[in-house]
Amino acid sequence: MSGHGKESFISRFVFSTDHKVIAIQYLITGLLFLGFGGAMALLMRWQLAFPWQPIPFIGHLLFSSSGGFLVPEHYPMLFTMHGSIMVFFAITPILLGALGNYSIPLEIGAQDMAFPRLNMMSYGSLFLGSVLITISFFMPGGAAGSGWTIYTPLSSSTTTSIGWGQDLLILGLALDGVSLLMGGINYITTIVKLRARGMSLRRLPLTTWGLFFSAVLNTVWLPLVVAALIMVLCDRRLDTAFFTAGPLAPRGGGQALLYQHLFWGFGHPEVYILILPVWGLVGDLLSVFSRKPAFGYAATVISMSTISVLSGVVWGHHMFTSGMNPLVGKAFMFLTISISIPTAVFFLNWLATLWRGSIHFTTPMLFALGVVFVFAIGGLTGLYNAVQTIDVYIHDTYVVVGHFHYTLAASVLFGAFAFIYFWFPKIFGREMNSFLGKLHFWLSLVLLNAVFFPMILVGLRGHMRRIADATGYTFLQPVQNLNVWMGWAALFLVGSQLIFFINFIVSLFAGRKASSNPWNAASLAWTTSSPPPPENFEVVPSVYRGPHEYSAPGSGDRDWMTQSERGSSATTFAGKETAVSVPVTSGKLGIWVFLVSEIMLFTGFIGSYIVLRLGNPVKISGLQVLNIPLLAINTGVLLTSSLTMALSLRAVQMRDYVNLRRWLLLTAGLGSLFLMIKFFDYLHMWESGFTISSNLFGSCYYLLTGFHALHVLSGIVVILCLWFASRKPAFWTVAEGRVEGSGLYWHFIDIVWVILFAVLCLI
Amino acid sequence: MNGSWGFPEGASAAGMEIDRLFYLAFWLTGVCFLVIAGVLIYFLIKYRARKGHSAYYTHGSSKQALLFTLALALAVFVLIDVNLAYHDHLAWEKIWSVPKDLSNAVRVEIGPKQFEWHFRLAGADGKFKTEDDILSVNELHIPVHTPIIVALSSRDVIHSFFLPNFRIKQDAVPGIVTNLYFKADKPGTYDIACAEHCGLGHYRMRGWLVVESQDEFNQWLTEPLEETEPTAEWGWEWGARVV
Repeated sequence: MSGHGKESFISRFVFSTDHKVIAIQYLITGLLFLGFGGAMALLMRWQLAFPWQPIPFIGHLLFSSSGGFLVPEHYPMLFTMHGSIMVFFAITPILLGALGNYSIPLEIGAQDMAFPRLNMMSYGSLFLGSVLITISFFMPGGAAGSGWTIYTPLSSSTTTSIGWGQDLLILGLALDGVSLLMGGINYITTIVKLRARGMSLRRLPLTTWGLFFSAVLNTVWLPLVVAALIMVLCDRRLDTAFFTAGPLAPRGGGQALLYQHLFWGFGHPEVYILILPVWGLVGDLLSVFSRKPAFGYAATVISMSTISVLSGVVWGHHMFTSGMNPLVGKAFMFLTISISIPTAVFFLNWLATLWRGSIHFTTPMLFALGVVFVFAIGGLTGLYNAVQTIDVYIHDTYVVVGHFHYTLAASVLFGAFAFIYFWFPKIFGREMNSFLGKLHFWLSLVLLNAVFFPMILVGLRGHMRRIADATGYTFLQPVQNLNVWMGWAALFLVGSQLIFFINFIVSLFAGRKASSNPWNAASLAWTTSSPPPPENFEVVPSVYRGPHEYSAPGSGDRDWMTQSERGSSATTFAGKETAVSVPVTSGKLGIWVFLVSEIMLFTGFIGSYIVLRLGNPVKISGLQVLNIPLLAINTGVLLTSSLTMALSLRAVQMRDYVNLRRWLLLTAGLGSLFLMIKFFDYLHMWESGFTISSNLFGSCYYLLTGFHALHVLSGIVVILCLWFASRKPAFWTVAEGRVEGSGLYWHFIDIVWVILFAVLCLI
Repeated sequence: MNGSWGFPEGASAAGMEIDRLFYLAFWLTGVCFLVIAGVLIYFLIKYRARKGHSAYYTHGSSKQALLFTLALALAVFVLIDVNLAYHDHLAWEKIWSVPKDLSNAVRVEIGPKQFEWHFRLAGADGKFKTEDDILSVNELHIPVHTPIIVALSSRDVIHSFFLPNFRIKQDAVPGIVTNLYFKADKPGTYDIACAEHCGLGHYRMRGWLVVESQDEFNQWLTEPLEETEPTAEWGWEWGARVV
């Protein structure tokens, strides 16, 4: 950890492994894209208010070819990129990237994340993704235009989504997904393993809990959508037909709705991925600024976990009108509306935290209270969308748009602002201007309702979402006034955010110097200096109590007790001072979390294969097409390599240097042999006319085994790295963990192959 | 009751069921919102920080707090969740249950493509795949008070057949056939809209539904065809499933 101060600018601020610097990188990236997404929203509101009219001032700059106004091609690009950018490149980086990275180690008393270099790569991956989607605007044919949901077959056919914008968006999202997975591995491992002495799970701040559940959901569900997006990309560029059906498909067999299942399998948890950290943050902030412990801590955490579980089984409520069986729809409806139970517990606990408190209306508190207010509207309007019969009318109308802007835009953005105003003094060592902060809050609160509530009103009148012009419809004649109103309100809403950006930038350089604990907060982050030293804490703290000890009797002239001070009332809150002991190393835990996401990725692929094969009337059996003896031999090769991998672990445990190197090399060799046989198998089949675009089975075969082969290749690279590293004596201190971790990955690859071989032959 | 939220003019009894269900949800959520907002504002005023006032120390982990939480959870579950689900079930049965006697039903096949609605009716003989099949683009005529059974399948990307005045929509998905059932109770001309983003012309994928008396409908059936383009081989006469 030492030596941060002596490093060059590049290694300190660009290729830093310090979680605090990485958090700032995420924050700046997120804020830039927030501005970008907001500007796109304004263009859309202009178009809806004054369809096909020249845009004042900037129209000629942006759309010179058309004469300063939007053409029908532009509008889908705007709402597609507005949605994708706001969700994946603005809100996610700010809440998971910045809040997660900054707060987790500081709040649990760790000196950094469990895997600092992985953390650096996580930001790098997001950065590459954001570069890709930025250049997609300048590609011939423009940016992607099939909606942030990328519904197939609109997105998966190059005749309906022309150009490279769609491909770049998919690649950008995939890179963002990789970034989130690396982040998720880090967050989970750090929270489980690196807690300071005494930081039991009951003493974690609620924000940390929210981030933890959010990371778990990301790890589990994100790979599904990555699998789906890869298949969309194959449909576009490799002439497969996983999701294209009907006349657009070159050959039958694809299923358009399968994509929706995969997308919403991730897409619905995604809204909880974003809102869980906000819920936690609100719980913490209401406690700090009411000078009162968070009410019903355990009930809040249990509700968070309940919602995390429920979020994975409600995706069907996005598909009520897709032709779903009504009975299945009823199950999805009931599961969905039962989310109101844990949500009600949140509201009870938030309000009860305020009850008999001593409420200080600081800027972060105002935004936290703002979340309670706007999330009440957002959550309650969700019920309408969940009830099947009502949804059949309001699905794909502005009711939906209004609802998710109340939850994702209003609630999550207010959470993001609460985070920034609250943590700014800690992050930058300076205070933000509180008058401008409060002005920003009140303007945002009023204007945001002025934009988002009319969305619900026009939606109830039937206004479809994603239409560029409502004036052509008889039943939408009465809403045009509201569209004009929303245009003006949006202009002022986006304009009022300039107050925040000005406040942010000016405070960065000229804000008042902040003390280590400007909010009189009790959690660990506020016991170290502002900004914290590179190693976070001069002395790693021990934890004696929960994170919300405010106004405890006997805490003296202060009304709070920090988690790390040993006081007379150290036992006022249940829980003993204990060292954190989890019987698994960080490395191994990280690998397991990674394997969970890998399992979900292959679940996405193999599950799709099964669904597509069972739904396809053209039956081609793998037994007829595949070279079974060759594949059987190859299976034997790979299984043998698992044995040699196990033997290399045994060699490490026996400190047998020579044999370790021998077994590792043999494992890599067997892996390479597997790939060579695979290659000749491909070559032979391809030459005999069985290609990736021959038929559905061919597409699936090359996709599944090709992806598996890539995993084998990366496994070989890892093993060869180990082999090279093992020449140095220093390797022996970390050898066992490294070999064990790589071994787990290698065995996983082998198991996947066995499963693949079985399903390809049998289904 | 209809005018207050400005729903489009209702044209079917089933659509009115949805409006009724909406108002039930509106009252339930409205009460919740008023309680939350009311308590929030009351607490903010009553417990604001001021001299001589200090916070009351509690973690809310007592048995009473737990019981209160469970009671609230139960109340929300029964009064809102079960209540809504039950009424949804009733409404669903009324709206979507296809009547047993379909002898006088009019069957329509809708095969939209970017950005047009293509309709096919069986014509005077009541049979598809015959010479007198009616093909029509963007304009569908149906008789009033008669059950309409629709089969939908898209010719390219996903579209969604949306009748705002009937409060219904159904996606048209390429490769599969989806069904929709409705009945018009009021003659008139209504909008047909596409509710699923289908490309750059999504906003102008508009059609007209003309609800008219049986006589006028029969008259329309005999009018010459506008469309001569051969239609895709799918629909009731070709087996329900499209490949």
